[in-house]
Amino acid sequence: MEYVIVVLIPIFMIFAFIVEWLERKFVARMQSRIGPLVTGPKGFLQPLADFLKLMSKEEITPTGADKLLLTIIPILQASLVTFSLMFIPIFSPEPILSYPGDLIFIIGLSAIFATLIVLTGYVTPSPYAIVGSARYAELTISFEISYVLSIASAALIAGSTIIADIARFQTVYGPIFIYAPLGFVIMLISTMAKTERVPFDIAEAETEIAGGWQVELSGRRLAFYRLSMDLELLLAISLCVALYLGGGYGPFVDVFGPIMYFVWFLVKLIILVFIVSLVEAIMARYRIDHVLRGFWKAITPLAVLQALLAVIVRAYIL
Amino acid sequence: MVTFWDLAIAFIIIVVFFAILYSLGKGERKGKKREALLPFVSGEKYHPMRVPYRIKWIYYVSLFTAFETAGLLVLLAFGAGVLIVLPLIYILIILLALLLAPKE
Repeated sequence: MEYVIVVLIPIFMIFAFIVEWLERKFVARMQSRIGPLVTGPKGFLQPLADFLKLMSKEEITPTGADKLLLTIIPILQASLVTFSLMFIPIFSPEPILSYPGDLIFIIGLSAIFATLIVLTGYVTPSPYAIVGSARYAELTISFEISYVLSIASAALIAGSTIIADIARFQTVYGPIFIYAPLGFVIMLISTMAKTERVPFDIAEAETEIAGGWQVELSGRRLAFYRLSMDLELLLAISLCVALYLGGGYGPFVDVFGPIMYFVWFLVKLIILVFIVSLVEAIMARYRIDHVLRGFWKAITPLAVLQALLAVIVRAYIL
Repeated sequence: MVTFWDLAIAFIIIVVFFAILYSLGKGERKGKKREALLPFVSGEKYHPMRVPYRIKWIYYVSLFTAFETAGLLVLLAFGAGVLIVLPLIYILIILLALLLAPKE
């Protein structure tokens, strides 16, 4: 298992870079731009080039910052997200790590990820970083309930807290998306808020608070934060695919095996990245009070309703 | 089925991998000018000091996320019958943490 994990880490990194490239390309085309073009075919290697460039840049620790924490946090963030990815059945129906309750474990890990972002602003001596991290804390408190309830809805319908089992359940009963479309939409919206995608990028808000909690990050720290956010997007969308779209299951999986499974997973993942990019391209950033009001007054009650409907679906329909 | 030690070993491998990758990046150069080390303040006059930040925020976020995970556990455990004892113990531990948390 140890060897598989060592091999999987760089694969997940490459996968995250591909997702970033796809997202940048989609957004660019929708805004009548070309997007990444120079590095590699069609600019395919641009995210990797960005990562390597930042890794080779000099790191600056501003006066008054907590150097130790600023070093540990990016490593921990990248590790937590990669660890969570090991539980998602991306490359085969059986993920490398799986046990009863792994879905809840992943939710706990993603909560730690959010806390680490808040902590980054706290250990940086910049007013912009403080405002950014406070904004992220407010955002977290508002979207987490709906995010968790949308995940719980899928788990309630499938009657399992094992991600691989929930994906397998959908081979018999069809995608959970059919039974809980509201939960799927809520999960996608919450995913965008979680990964700070437009229109929920209020914690970064370059034009208002100059990048928020990231403002004092440079060099390898910034490289790791960007990598973590790419991995987080990959994780959140992969989880959405596994819980609501039947993972990599689809036609011809029985015939061609894991290769076809991965192809189906990739197709579904690309469709979701496209939807996220579409929303990103056509919307402007919300004001923080609008986001909080929207989540607390509209999306969270709908998520509660969806969870109740999921219980009814499980009890009377399936 | 994985054991606790499998999870621990997997996490340690990942942390070590990223720590090595991090160490391969370019570090900090000594003897930088004072101006270069000042935090970005967009032209405003500002002394390089830690902003008095309300640590309560981090408690709120941490406890909120812990309760949220516990809530999910309870919600799903209702369907599992006897397993309800475990999430209740979990909630009890979080409540203890809440009581022991330092006051601002």
